[in-house]
Order: sequence, then structure tokens, then C-alpha cells
Amino acid sequence: MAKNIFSTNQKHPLGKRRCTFCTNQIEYIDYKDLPTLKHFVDGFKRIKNHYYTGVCLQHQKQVSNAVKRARFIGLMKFTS
Amino acid sequence: MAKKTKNAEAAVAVEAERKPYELMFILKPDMLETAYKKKLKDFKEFLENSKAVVSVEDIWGKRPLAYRIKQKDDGIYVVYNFVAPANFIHEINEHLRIDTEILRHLMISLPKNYAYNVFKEEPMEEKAVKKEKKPFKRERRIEEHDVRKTPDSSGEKPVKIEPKKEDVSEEKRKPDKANLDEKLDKLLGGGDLNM
Repeated sequence: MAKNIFSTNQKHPLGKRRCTFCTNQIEYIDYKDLPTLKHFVDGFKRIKNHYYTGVCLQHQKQVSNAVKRARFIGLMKFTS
Repeated sequence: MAKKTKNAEAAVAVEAERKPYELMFILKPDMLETAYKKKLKDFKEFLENSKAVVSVEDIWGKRPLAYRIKQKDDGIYVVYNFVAPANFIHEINEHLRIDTEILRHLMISLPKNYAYNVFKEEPMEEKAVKKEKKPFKRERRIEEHDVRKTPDSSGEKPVKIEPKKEDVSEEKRKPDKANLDEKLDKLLGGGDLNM
């Protein structure tokens, strides 16, 4: 998945943000997809709130699930 | 009671759906290639003997772990995609849990329209700019420190300003030298040649 999708999201004001996964018609978020997941993680490796990611609730749930799976299997850190 | 449980087991066996699953596990990094390939071959046979159809077998190889697991910093990652009856999953999990050469495993069920993808990781970012800035600061600090060490001799401001003064003096001297040469030529030319 392209890096640009997530960088553009924060330029829009809060009211006009659209879910990036809905606009690109992505149904399943993979826990192996580390380049995308890193955008949804804090500097301290905590999962970002959907208020800041601009993702809809359905996809935010999938994202958090994917991050937790990646953490468990040793692909991502719990903290830094 | 026994009859009831047997009936229940039979019913579960009949009803068990075949679902797609993904399995990822981490092997110990000390294992040789021949050893872990043989192990994976055996495991694949174990899967296929119990009515599972393996669609993807991806060996990532050795890569660093994000944190230490069972006192290991690296691990050999392996991914399997297969379709299996749901009542068989518990058996596989037990098999993997008991195995001492497996650090950790993760079994998840997949959606129906899933295609296996390989994701490329970006290379690590190098912070070259910050490294250049640091020594500059240190040099400045050292200079200030040296100045503080030799303060008592006079009220004038010390070593830092001296090079600037030297530059100014050099600039001033150059025109002086030229003038001096001209004057000397005049004086000498007037005196010596006539003599």
C-alpha cells in the first residue's frame, strides 16, 4: 500500500477526513503489512486513537487487531 | 453420559466446516537449514495427513525479533495458509505448543476472499544530519570551558577575540608595507645614487 495515502489524511481538517481504507476499498488489513501499520502507531508504539488516524470505526477495530497480532508474534514492539 | 458425549462428538465431526486458516510460527535461530527444512517437511505431512489442504508455504528465514522471546533475539519465521476442518485446529495448536524448538505461534482464521501477499519493508533511515551537528556543539563547549580556565590575568576579553585582532592587524600592515617601500625607495634613491 502506498505511503501517500496516510500522509495526505492529516492535511484535511477534522470534519472533512475520510477513511482511507473505505476510499481505497480495502476490506482486510493484514498483520504482516508493517509499512501500513506503522502509520497507526505512536512514537511510544501505542495504537493511535481513531480521532487522530481519521479511520472509520470498523477499520479502526481491524487496525488495532492487526497491531496486536503483529506485537504478539514479534513483528512490532509493545513499547519503546 | 458417555453415549451423549459420543453423539455430540460425532455431530461436531459432521458439522465441522472447512475454513481457511493462516499459521505463523517462529523457530529457534540456532537451527541449521537442513534441520529446519526436515522439520517443516514433517509438519507439512502432519497437516496433509489430517485432511488439511496447504495452499501457501512461505519461509521468511532468519530475521530479528522486535523484543526478546525465550532469551532469543532472532527467529526463523514460517507462514502457512491452509484449509482445514475446524475441529482439527485445537490439535495443531497443541502440537505446536508442546514443541520445544518453536518459540511462538499464531493461528488466525482468514476471510473468504483472501490472497496471500508479500510486503516489502523499507530500509532503516539514517540520521546523518544530526551526527554532523553534534561535534560542532562539543567544540563550542570546549572553547568556552578553556576560556573559563584562564581568566585571572587581565580584564581584557581572552583567547577567542585574538584571532580577529590578528586578521585586522594583518590587513592594516599590508598598506603600511607598501607605503614604507615607496618611502624607502625615495629616500634611498635620493641619497645613494647621487652619492
